[in-house]
Amino acid sequence: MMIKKLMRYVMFVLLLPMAMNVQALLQIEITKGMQGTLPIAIQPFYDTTAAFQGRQSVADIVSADLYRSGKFAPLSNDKVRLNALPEAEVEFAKWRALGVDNLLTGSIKRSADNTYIVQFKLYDVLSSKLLEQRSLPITPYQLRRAAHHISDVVYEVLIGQRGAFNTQIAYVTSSGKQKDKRYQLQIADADGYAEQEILTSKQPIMSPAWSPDGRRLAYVTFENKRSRIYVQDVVRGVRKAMPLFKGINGAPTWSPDGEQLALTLSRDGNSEIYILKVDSGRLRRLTHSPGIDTEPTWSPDDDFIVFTSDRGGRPQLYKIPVKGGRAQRISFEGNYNADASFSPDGRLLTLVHGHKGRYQIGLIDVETGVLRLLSQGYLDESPSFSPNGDMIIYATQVDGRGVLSAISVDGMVSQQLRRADGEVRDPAWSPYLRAE
Amino acid sequence: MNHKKLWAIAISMVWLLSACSTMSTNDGAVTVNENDIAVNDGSSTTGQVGDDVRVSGASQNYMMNSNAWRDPDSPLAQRKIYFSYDSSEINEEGKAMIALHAEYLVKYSKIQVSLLGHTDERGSREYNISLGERRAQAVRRLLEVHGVQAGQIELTSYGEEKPDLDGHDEEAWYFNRRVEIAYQE
Repeated sequence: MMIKKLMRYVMFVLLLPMAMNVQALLQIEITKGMQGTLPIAIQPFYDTTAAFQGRQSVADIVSADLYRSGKFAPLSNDKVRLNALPEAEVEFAKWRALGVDNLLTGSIKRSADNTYIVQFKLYDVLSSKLLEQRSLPITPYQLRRAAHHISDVVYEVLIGQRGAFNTQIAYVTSSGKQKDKRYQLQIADADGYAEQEILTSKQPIMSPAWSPDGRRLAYVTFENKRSRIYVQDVVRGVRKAMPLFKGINGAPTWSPDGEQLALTLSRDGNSEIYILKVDSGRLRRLTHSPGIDTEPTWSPDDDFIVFTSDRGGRPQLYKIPVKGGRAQRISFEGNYNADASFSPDGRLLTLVHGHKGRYQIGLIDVETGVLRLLSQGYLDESPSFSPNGDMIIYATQVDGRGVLSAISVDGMVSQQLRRADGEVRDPAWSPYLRAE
Repeated sequence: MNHKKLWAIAISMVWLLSACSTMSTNDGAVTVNENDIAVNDGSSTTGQVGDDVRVSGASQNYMMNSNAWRDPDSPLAQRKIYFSYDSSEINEEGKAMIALHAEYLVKYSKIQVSLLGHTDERGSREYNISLGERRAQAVRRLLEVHGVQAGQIELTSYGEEKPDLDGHDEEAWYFNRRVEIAYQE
């Protein structure tokens, strides 16, 4: 009954025109920036359609994306000429005089029915050359997606690495106190905008995990006063309950082919790692130890699962072959290493490292085993890599409130994502989203 | 006899009468502790009158009553066992509390409890779910040693997800590292 109600609610939320939400429910604050950034001018896109009034403009979205990466210095609005006609010749000398290296211009035109074409051009101002131009057909709801895609292209052309702007983050929010406490599972664009609530509950929600195709989220809820794992299709708004086992049902993580979940069950007496086939429900046990085994993460090459175990006394990271076998310890510094997550290329693990009561986000090089601390907080947890491996998003506390923080792997750039009210935690960065 | 003592007698009789009416009759003989009734027999004094009549009655009566677990004044209302950081070891205070509940649950073997395990907020969330379970399992083991049947006990861990005290200091952490005994309706 409750599930039916919930599904109806979920579907209703998803059918709302999502892009109408201009307000960021997650506020972003840049906490660290880089020196030597690329100066770029982004002209407001020429738009006579009147279809996107009152919404954040493409130029603003791209400008914010590039600024947030810490590698660009977008030219401020007052220096940029407004409403330049798309056919007008680019006056490169004028842009050079303003000190920019690159220029982005574009337009939005109406196409057939209720569709539009977003066209953009990226120039190298110094050599007066057109570097890239593309036309993107969109529906009215896809403007933000198009803008983020443009940011990705600019980033890749000028920096030489794949961008991760056209991605999403999932996270858990809560508001109220004690008996009035409410929990929500949310998705937003990686810039904190266009937040959508995909689940709400009076009981805790935990551990969202994106499927490799970016279409599904696995998560844990305590809806019936006990833990259970669900897999929810975020596009269709329908969810499927995973088989319920006695004791703990937690820490779901996807296999690279999206067909299996590694998870934690305590059905046999204490927390162990199991592998569940999502469609058939077939279960296979992976670990056998008297200690706690939990928090699995699946290597991108499908060879190993890394997990947290306190079989040696305190929580440390271990790895075990996916097909089963002996577990091998892989973390050796300090007496608390937990909550590991693989980088997309499988070369790094991000984790929570505890030392003398302080918990920080760290990185372990999979090959050398060397640990490097990344974050500077005291209660940092739940780290998750961006799909281009450049950034890590994690949960932390600021002024006694739960917020999210994103930091670049080289530590040079960081931002904070805060809610106007309530707490945020348990972030998960989506994979690259499939083109629609 | 002075006014004070008359009042004491009257109050104690009213209390006793109301206690009698809430005692269920379907779980064997219910005996009232005769010593706690101050009877107006005209004698000048009894040592018991007015002295902690209510309190001593409660501490004896809880074992006599299968509904005593609902009474906010009975010792069964103390249901939180606290733990040291990163430990699932039960201290002396916890052992005493568990023994008390165990005695009651052995006598009223149809009553069921749920043990809810928790941790403080430090460290990773899913590991804390497992740690909370470990604490609840320690409490269960001790209850079973005292003779409580496995079928009377259920276990759930909330890890750090349901703190009792919102806060980020030692005090909050202490009160959140707990197992709660929840009696089932």
